[in-house]
Amino acid sequence: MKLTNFSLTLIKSKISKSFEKTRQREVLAALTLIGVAVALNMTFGYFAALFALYLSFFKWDYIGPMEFVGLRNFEILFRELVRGLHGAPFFLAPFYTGLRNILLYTAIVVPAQTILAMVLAAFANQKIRGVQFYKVSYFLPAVTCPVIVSLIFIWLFMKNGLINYFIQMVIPGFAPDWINDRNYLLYAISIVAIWGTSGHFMVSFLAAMQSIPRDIYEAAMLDGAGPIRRFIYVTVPMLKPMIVYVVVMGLIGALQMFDLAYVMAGPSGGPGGAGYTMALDIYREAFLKLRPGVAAAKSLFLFTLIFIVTYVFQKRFRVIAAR
Amino acid sequence: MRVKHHKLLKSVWLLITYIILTLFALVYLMPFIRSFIASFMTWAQASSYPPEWLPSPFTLENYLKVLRLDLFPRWVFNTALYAGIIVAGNVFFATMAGYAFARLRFPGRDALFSALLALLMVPAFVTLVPSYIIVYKLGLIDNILGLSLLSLVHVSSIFLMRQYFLSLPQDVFDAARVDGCGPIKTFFYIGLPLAKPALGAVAVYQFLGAWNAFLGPLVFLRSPENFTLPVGLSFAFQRAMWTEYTPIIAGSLIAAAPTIILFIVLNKYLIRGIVITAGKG
Amino acid sequence: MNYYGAISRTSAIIIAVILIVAVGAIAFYTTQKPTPSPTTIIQTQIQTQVVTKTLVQTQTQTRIQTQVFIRFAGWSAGETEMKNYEKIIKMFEEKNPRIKVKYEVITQMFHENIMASFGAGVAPDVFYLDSAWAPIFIEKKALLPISDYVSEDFINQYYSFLLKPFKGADGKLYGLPKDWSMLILFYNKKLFKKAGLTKPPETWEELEQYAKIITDKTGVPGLAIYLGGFNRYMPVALSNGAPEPWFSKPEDASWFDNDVVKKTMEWYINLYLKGKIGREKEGLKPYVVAPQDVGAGWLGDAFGGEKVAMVISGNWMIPFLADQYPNLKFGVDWDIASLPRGSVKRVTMAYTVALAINAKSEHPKEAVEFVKYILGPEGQKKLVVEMGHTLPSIKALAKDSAMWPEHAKSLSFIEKYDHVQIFLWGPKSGELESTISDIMASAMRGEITISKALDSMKQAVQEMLQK
Repeated sequence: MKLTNFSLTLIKSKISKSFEKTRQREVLAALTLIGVAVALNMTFGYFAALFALYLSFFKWDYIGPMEFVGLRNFEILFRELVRGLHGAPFFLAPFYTGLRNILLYTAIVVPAQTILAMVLAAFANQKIRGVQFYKVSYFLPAVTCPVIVSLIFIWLFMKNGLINYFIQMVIPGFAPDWINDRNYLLYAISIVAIWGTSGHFMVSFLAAMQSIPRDIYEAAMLDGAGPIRRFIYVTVPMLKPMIVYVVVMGLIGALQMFDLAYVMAGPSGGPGGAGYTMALDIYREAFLKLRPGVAAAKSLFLFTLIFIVTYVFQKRFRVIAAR
Repeated sequence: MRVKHHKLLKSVWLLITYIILTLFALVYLMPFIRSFIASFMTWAQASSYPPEWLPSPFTLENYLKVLRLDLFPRWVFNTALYAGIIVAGNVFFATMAGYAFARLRFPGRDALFSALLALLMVPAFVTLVPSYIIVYKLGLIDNILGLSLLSLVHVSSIFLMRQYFLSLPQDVFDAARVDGCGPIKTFFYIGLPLAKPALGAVAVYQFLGAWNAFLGPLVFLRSPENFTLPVGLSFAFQRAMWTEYTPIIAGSLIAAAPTIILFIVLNKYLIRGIVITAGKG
Repeated sequence: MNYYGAISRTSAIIIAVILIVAVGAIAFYTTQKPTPSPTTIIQTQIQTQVVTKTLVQTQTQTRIQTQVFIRFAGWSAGETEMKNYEKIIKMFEEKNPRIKVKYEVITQMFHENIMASFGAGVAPDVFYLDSAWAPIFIEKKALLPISDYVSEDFINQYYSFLLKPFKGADGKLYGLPKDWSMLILFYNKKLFKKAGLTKPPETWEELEQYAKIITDKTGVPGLAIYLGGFNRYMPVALSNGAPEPWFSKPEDASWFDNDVVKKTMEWYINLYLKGKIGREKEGLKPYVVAPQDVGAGWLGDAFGGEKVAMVISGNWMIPFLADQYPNLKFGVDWDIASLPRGSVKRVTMAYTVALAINAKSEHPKEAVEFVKYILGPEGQKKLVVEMGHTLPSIKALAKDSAMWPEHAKSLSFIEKYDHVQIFLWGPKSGELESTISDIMASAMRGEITISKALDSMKQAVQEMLQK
């Protein structure tokens, strides 16, 4: 009896010890693997972010000392928002204009680029001739430098430019001055964004689609499902993690959009601030109005916005996925 | 009867597929086609309306303007170097980190990952001045290495790899562990080979991001010899009051050529990698 | 199914290649960086001096002859300019062996970058300073008072109106102009002939008349202006007697209450409102257009493409036309004239950039030497006169033989002007310019009434200057 008891405890302790050892090994391994990644990002990311947080309570002009002003920067921020909500013109409430524009822009660009990327990937995933050509064509826009592409698109969007030329063939008489018309500038920028990024995400979706085993499709086909139904009920659910990635990255990128607006609308945001984005406003606060404290406060606002939007999306998507 | 019906449906579907694919391909390619044609035109002709499609006079001047730049080869080298470092760093370190966040358990894992993810949401200008200070203090300003540090292990790559590892079936890794493989061994022998499609995607994304990067090199590089291609082209052809459009178009096409070629090559590899791993199943 | 086994060959090769590239790159790069060796030049100097001086003296020479590095930052005007700078810097370094200059180029967002570098405490020693940014830097005491380091004679070689923006409240000079440009009336001689006009317009009213005549006789719009463009409007206001604007306190917005300002602003906005929108409503061709209305990106393309007959632009148009529209010959196809006269005087705008020295520079004397060289006669001759992009700020160089004929002609207009207004109206000129221009553009498009526009401009100025 004693012997079996003893041996039992011995075995138990040996197992728990080895379990602990494996746990320790796991933790150590994990730390090694993430070490460099975390260290670099913490230095360049977190230090900067914390500095910005600190700065948002100060007034500074880069050259002199920093002056503590408490919540004044946030007060300026909210004043602009409130004024904008009451219909103040652009120059009195730039932050509000930036906010409104970027939300509209995101609402257009993110769904468009995600759905387009998925659909195109699905089409390209089939065994048809010339798939290589199509894949390369869709991806080509992502190969270019956004700044230079924006310059090229300004040229294409001119009143007498190529895009209007083609549109005239379908809808005669519709030739807006995309770049200079306050009603169309944002749409022009959105088109450039979708053009540039959907191919990019198409590659992600393609890679993910390749790992879906063929038999599921075959089973669906035997069940009589046509290609569209196969797409909706088989492909999309299996792509969930990738969809999350694409949408989250899309949201984060869209809400922060700066370079397209800077080149196409100019640093002043275009006619009546039609192409003004929040990121552009932050840039203006920081470097043209020389109020880095206010810029830091606005960045905090933008960050919070991005965080909330992506968080809400992830939560809701999980609910839908669970169903 | 049924078979014929089925065959007809299939060919109709095939036709629709081709139409849609070709239409979109045209839309996506149109700016390139137009740019390509315009790169052989003078600006006077390129800016004319209705748009003309045959360069007359046909001129190589735009390309010559770019190639005549003394610094152009240096810029190509700098850009390639920068892209190479970034790709290496991301592929190496982000894969390790992504695997750890997906498959290993350690205290604070999810919190740390969320914290890293949150970093993505910080607008670019926020980090500009502080990063500037750090890089300067390290003496790495105007240096490609210093510039690389910023995006060496980009959170988006870590995110992508983690999502990918999460989507792989758990049993593959469990089986390895049961067989006595430690976590690091599992990573190298199981995780890495299976991750090839995602690795390819990360490599491609980071290469493109680095090759076309503008803001980072603009701020952190100072000497024209150290510029990367986008900044170099802007330096050469963007004046305070106007931009020389046609050379920039020509230059951007030259700059895009290696990335296109690389994508075609890497693309084939992506397929091969997938076929190999799928074959194992 | 075999889960184990060696890492597949291809993955191993890929990883190895990446690692080798990375390591090789790092190794190659670190060996590539040229390490400045301050001692080499000094040694050769000391060799020659040993022969002539005593040992004690050579020892003191070694001590004070330490090499000094100064950093110089500018924005770019292309590779040719960069090469010219490198040549000049080499010549300067030969004359001043103790000083080594590192030339940095910041292609876009120049002032923002400089601000950030001030914030990081690593601003360059010498840098470009646009007149519009000068007040801010001077007020924050970021610049070295150059007037303390150079002689009166040196300062007097520059046009006095170019020195104004760089004078501080204490009367000291904080920067010296390296070049400048002025607004000029460009007109297409061929179209003028077709319309039966023999000389350029003398007054603003004639400008509008001529535009009408040209459009009616030739079908080509007579004049192109930017939508907005507060700085382009300014000569109109000043030449008709408006006071010089200076916006530094909210009360200064009362400039917009001035009658002359109101009248001239109305006239200027009506140029487009009536000249284009009004005319098109009547079914007639517009005699005033904006560049985008004729498919041009800016005034240069509109004029060069002969889509309009007249534009008011600056010296920068001249190299542009020579480069992009070489078939248009100066003097034959197109010519320049001074800006039209107002009811009181003739005024033009000037845009200038100075070289400023960081107040916290560790080597102020050397920086001053460098600045004196670059914007002295030798430097300007090479960088400004021969380049042909801008005008030299040294009065004497106006007669230089290497000067482009177009630029030379524009310089001859200086005597005609009663006043040269610099593009600067207060510490926030840049911001104000863009906001006021935006409001003007809105009025030009007919979106708001002119009186509402004037009110908005006043409001904008008050708002922006509130502390």
